[in-house]
Amino acid sequence: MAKRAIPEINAGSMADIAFLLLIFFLVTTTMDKDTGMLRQMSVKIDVPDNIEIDVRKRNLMKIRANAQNQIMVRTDLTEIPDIKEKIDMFYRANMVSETDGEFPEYLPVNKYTCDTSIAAIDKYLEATEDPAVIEFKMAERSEWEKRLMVINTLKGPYREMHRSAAIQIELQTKTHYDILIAIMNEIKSAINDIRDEKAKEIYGIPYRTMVQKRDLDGKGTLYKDEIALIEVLVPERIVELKPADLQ
Amino acid sequence: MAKFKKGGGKASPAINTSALPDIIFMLLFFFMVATTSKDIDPMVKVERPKSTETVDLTPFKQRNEIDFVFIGKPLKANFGDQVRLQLDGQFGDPENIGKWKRVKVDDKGAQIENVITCLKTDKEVGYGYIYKVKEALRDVKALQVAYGAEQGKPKY
Repeated sequence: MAKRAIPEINAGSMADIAFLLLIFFLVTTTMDKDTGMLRQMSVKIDVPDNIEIDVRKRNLMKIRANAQNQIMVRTDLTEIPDIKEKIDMFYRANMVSETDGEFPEYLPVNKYTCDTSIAAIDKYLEATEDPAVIEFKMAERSEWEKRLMVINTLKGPYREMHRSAAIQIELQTKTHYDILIAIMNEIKSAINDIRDEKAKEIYGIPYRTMVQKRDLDGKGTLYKDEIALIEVLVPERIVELKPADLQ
Repeated sequence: MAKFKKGGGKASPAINTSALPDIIFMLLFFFMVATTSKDIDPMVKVERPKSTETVDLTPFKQRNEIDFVFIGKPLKANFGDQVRLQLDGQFGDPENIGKWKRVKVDDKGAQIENVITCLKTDKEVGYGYIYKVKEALRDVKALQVAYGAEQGKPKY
């Protein structure tokens, strides 16, 4: 083939086309990431009136806030930045050994208690037909299985916070959303600090880092078992109560 | 050594713009990578509170496991100044959210327990309203909720 001079293509409007695309993307997209705090709500179940649930005072941490942004933790008026310390105390007071009767007790869990509890639930499940009861008992059974997993991984018993220990948040109807978030932030940061510590002790890597890596992992399976174990060791039980002034 | 033309030279030489498209394309690609598409235009004012303990919800979005709801006062005055709920492109009330959520989940073909509902709430919304929305979601067994918040140091 004879060499022929190829006429030069005018690329002057290329920039215009690129600009057009650029502006299109600028308009239709946003920079800010969607971030939030995950909460798992509890299933609604009908509790028969004749059953009294025994929740001891020491196992509860009640945080209340009114519409004037005043906050009360248990019986003390508290500023938001001080909540964290109180939550920390709530978790740690009896973690290693029983020292303070004002805070939740820790009970030892071993293989024997797990096995007998699972066996008892299985026996109960065989006898009942009620689907609501079955669902409830199955949930309880999976809790015991998680504990068993922890014992198997740690190769020994561990101390567990009392199963009814919980943090309760009670707000008023007019309490602003940012107060709720601020309180949640304090609670979560206290719990995550303790979880970080536990995770470092067991796996040598902080809990928050594990969660971050799991979220970046496409399938979301990275560190799955490790995270589950830490969440059994340091449970997060936050209950939001119905505002007392809500009709 | 540079050569200087004597005399004339009034007309400035044309600037070579052949690299301009490349620069613009570079910007374009940057924006394509760094941003996410806006799928819903907010109809209510939402100023997010800040928190240091937030989780990035993008992975859930990619796996199609999350729905977004906006709670706040309408941006346009003709919709009143009461706190409302925005369900996709419509205003709603806590009573409507259960039905809406079921439709959304059915469209995805997912289990309602596995789909998170993110409540993007304005700072100044009262907790009573949020509680009602949450109860409505609990009634349809959509138990996973995310409180929308921005990553950052909280005000208090």
